[in-house]
Amino acid sequence: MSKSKKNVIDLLSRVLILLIIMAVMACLKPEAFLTATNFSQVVFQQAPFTMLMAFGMSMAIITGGIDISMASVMILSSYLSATSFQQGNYVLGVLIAVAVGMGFGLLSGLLVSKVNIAAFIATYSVDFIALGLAYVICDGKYIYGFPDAFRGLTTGTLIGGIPNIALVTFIVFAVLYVLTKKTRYGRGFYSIGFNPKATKLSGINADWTICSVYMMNGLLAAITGILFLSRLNAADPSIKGTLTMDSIAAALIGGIPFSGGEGSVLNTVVGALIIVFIRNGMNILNVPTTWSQTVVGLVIMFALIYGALMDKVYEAISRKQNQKKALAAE
Amino acid sequence: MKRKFKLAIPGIALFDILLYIFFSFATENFFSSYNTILILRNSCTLVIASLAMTMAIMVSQIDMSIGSVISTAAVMVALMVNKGIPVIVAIIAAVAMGAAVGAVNGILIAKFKFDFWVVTFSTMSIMAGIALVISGGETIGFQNEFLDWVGNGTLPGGIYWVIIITALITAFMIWVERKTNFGYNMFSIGGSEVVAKNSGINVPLNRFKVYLFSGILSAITGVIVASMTAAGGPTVGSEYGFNAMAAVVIGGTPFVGGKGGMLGTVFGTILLKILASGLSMMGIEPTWQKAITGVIIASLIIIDVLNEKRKVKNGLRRVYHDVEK
Repeated sequence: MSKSKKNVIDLLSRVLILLIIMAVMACLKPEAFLTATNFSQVVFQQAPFTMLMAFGMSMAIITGGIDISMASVMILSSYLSATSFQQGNYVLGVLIAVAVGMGFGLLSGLLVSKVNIAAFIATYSVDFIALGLAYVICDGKYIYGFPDAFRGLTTGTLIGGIPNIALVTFIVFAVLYVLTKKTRYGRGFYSIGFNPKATKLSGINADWTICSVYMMNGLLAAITGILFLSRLNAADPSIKGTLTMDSIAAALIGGIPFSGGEGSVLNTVVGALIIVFIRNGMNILNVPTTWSQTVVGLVIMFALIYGALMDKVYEAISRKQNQKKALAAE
Repeated sequence: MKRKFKLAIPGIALFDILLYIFFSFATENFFSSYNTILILRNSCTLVIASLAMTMAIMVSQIDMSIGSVISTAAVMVALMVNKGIPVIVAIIAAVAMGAAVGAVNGILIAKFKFDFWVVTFSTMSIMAGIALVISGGETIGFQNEFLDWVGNGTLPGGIYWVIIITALITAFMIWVERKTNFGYNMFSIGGSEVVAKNSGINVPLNRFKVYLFSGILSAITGVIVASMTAAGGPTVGSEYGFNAMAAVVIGGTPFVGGKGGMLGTVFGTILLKILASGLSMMGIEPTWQKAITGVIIASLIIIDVLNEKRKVKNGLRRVYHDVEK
């Protein structure tokens, strides 16, 4: 079985999981779940945040690393840029957010690529620093109340009923898709994740590529931070919650293996939708929010076991096909 | 052959003493027997949690689930004592929970060869969630004579029983590390998994044991945390993971594993606690304290990795140098 065929089947199986979850919800509570408002709320309002963060996480996982610092960097960048947005100084606000995000991305990127620290240790430390800074700078004072024009970023629509936030997410998705599928630079992510040594030996500037991935994650964190500001109408360091876990779970359940080198942002989209619909289903079924962490953890574990099982299945299928071919040749 | 008994105190102990002396001169109330005992008492829970982390790091892996097992154990003990269940049953149940989490981690990592980070991360979030669910998101207070004695009872000299208990657990773990096959195997697996496997060590079984021990030790930490505060909160353990990692690395067990040891970890933990005590005596605000220790810890972790790299490089250089000669 060819690799691309396997990827397609894998993706379809993940879509099937999504459909099963939706079908279960539709059977249990059709009157609350099967409404246009619920769907548009979930897909256009809740999913974008998970997706944007999960895109970054997927990039990191594809290169064989992980980025735990994204949520904290997002909080710090949104907090630092909040005052500028409040005063209507949008360009400055965006510049600050992007600078903070990419700065921290550069830090973790350098630690991972040049210093060669295991990604989870490096980003864990950066996470600690960023969140600690956010709390120190915040010092219990929350910034709230933003101009309507800024709020329009999430509440308003530009093109025919699609909220801006969904539009931003789609643009990011398209850019990342083209980047990872069509450009030489983006294909480098996969080869680094698959075999970093061979990549370095074959003349790709692996260090710079890894570094740029983490910077890109910082940029994504900054974008998400700005959107969160506009959505919540407040800058508050305690919104971190389960964002990191959510994005890791989204990437893994979407079919990006933790070992790296495989999967695409399309997987992430499916994974993020699965996570968001599980959340939505729990809301509708009145499951207390305290359960959410457990559920996300179980999803990660399920994704691991499911991935391993699927790998076994593919192996068995391709073995059978090879046997058939051998028989036919005889 | 005559064997000399060697305690092998790691160099980090010197840093402990230097920092202690520094804070004794820098602040007024730091140097007193009361404060010294308090520092030791505050280190107790982190020492046991760090011992658990030491084992995982020793075999060049990490157990992220330590913190949330601590929270869950603390909440479990609080809930069960409030329900009127005998305290010994509550403690056994909590430890069994820890052992179960450790076993799940161990099976998934050692047997099924899943990535250790993502497995322990998922058990971490599952257990953190369960702590939230069973406690309902609130800190649960309780009253129990035995647990009060464990947490707050003192010897005539003012030394807390919890320090003695921790010392006993530490001594046992050091014995496991230095005198049993399992302890030796940990070092060899951390040094080189391939070599360990080729020399006949059952690597998966030893890995499994590491995570089992780690789960049990974290659960014991949770019980002690609950007994010291007479309460079990769903997030009491949330910072233990990072701090334990720091204590282990400061104590001289690098992330690559195979070196260092438990005794170093104990001194690493005490170093962190001396730092915390000293900073608060200097009148630095809690948020800043947290940030300062966070930055120090993060930079120490990074420095550790750099240092290990340098050692490897120098080692290679020596090998080539000898060959050229």
